[in-house]
Amino acid sequence: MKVEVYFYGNLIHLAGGRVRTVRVEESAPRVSDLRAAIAREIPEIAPHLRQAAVGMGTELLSDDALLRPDAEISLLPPVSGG
Amino acid sequence: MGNRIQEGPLSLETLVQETEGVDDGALVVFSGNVRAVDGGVEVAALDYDVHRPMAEQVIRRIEDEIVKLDGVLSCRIVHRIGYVPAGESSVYIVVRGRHRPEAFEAAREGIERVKREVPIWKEDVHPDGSRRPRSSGSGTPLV
Repeated sequence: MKVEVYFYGNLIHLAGGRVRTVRVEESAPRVSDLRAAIAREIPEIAPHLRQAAVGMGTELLSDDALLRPDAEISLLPPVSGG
Repeated sequence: MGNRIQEGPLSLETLVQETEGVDDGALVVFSGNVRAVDGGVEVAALDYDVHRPMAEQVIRRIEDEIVKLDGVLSCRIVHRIGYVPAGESSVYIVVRGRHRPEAFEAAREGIERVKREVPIWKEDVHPDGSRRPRSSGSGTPLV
């Protein structure tokens, strides 16, 4: 399954843009599968994955959550608003 | 009421008007401003990135939870995104309470929660145009 991942903050620079398409092997992938795929396909992001949250729409997901194919998936680094 | 995430200069007057009531004995305004020098380095502006739908939702949730605190009557939070020049406000927290202690405390909780929970990121923009993200190492993880 191909997943469009939206990157935010400093991850935009590391990913080479706001959106990258990542190929996940599993047919019903979980967040942990996506993390592994991102680490494999975008090694620049790998060191930042542990502290990055995965969002689907407006929700934050745990590592065992299933990804919906139609949802907007985002990778959110530590926040720094204010 | 308007969006919590806004581009361009923020209007404090609008927030003060939107929270007006007759029961409050205290109005507290916190403004987060862009410093011209940070850690000894000149800063021309901060450039803010946002996950807009999530940030709108999280800010409204923070407002709702702050209004439930004892003695707090209203709370409005807005955050500016995009390019914010030094000297200008990037965020306002406006709280009205029955008395000053709870209003001060609620405003502090508002800005602390914004910094910890809202998906917003900033980069320093230096006078020579170079940039430095603030979210690498110094931010708060959402995980």
